[in-house]
Amino acid sequence: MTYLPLLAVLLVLVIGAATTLTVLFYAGSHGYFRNLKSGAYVIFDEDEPVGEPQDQFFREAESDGDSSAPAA
Amino acid sequence: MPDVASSSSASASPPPEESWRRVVDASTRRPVVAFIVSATVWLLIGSLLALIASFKFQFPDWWTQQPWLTFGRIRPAHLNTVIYGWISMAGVGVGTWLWARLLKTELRGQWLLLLSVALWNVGMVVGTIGILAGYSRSIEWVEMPYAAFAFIVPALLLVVVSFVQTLRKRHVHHLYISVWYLGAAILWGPFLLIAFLLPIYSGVPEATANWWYAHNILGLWITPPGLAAAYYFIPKVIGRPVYSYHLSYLGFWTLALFYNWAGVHHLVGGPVPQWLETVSITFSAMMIIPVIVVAVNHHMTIIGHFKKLKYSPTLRFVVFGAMSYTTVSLQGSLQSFRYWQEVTHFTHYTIAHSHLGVYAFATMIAFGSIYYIMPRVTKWEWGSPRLVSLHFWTTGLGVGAYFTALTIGGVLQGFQMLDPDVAFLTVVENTKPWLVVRSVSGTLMTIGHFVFAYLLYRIVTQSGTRPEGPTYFYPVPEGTFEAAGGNGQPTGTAREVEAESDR
Repeated sequence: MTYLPLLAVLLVLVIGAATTLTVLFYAGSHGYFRNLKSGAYVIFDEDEPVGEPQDQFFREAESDGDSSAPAA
Repeated sequence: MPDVASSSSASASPPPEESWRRVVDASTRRPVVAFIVSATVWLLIGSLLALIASFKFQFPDWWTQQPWLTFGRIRPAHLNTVIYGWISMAGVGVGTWLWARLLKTELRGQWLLLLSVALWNVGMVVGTIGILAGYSRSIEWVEMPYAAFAFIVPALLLVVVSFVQTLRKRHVHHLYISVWYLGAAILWGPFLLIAFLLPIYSGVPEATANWWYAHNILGLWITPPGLAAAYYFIPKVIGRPVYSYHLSYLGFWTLALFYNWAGVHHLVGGPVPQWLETVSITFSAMMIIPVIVVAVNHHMTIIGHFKKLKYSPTLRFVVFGAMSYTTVSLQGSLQSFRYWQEVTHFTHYTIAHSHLGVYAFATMIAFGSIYYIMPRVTKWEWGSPRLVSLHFWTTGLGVGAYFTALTIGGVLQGFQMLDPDVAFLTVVENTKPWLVVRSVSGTLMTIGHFVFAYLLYRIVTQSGTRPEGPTYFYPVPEGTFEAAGGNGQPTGTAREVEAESDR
């Protein structure tokens, strides 16, 4: 029995780790980790602001008198 | 679209400001509905197969005359239908919607995704029939014959193409943490599958590669969409940003670096080189870091808002899943140790653990996500809060009872198997009560799945009278969902918070 095929798995492990580290450093050097504090807020904006839960699909539509328009 | 306007790498004209969500959601409608409906069909098929397999523990002579109905074929058919049919397709469906939403751009390659759904379903039919007809590859988690993967691998690659096309046309510079998780899964999933399907393994190396693959497909393909959804839906439903965005990045990158090495702990005690097992156990223990990080982050985000669990289906399912993620991951790290494996290996304990991961975590989050997404892509609301509630309690109680019974039964089984004074048949007899609970809880979960499928059918076909207002379990008292606030965190949009930080 040969363990040679396991080299394929080990190779994938090493390539995977190297790729992950490369992406990590690339992302860091290209500013993807800057202003992380504000990054948490990108899912909110003026029409879906912080402090206003967004589980209410028809809420705004009803207030507009147009029940067919989605609010979120 | 204020955040779009503030982004520096907008690659094309964004959709009109007031309606960008409507435009983006509409672009995902067909692929998302197709993936989610297909996934649900495979969930039903997988559930029925699971029930047949489970009841065979109580009635071992039931349906044994036909080879395709024997346990050895029904059980792997269940496993493959729920892994590749249900949770993978549901993950792609939910991920597709999140991808377009978070990149704030219309989905590209819609037809590629529809072709992907078609190929995927053909692959599942071929694979399920193949296993039942006796053409199983006898490799756990990859029992479906090669012919099935000849459809599923191209289907996965089509998803990759669509996601990359959409990413290139994004209207945001900052990639929200969920995008990292989804992007990683889209990279890792096909990579893992192709690497393991290479016809170069046999014997012990094949078993080693098998568990490297099977563990990673759970941790690097099924888990990331679940965490991506939790990181999006918990803040959105309660209206509060993630407690610590820094921690969320730490959690992602430690998962990315550690998880890939952990799978071989499934073979502790087997004929695998000791160093390989030790490396795997070490990385399994290191996984405690991302797990604690995610657990702290989710808990601190939801803290103070627990009463909303009473009303919101999305929040209740997703928080249930997030709590299960913490439990299953900590359990996974601890049970990789040799002394633990000596007791639990080859027992029902392992089955309990895998259901805690794939069901209590990933499936419950998928349900919660679908409850949020479907009204937005179908422009209809869920038909019945009572049925949604029934779905939650049957599945929640079902998986809870399932996990508890098989964990206790499995540990007892393990200790008894280690005792040379206990006959093997006695051990088998002693597991029977726990297996009855397994069948009962499986029945509960299956009832929940049919209820969910009915609700899905109603919303997709826009049946009945159009429900008024959002679907909550109970009428919401005035103010419950008002002024959720940041609880000490800054309020406003990303641009305003960034400006505040710069001051």
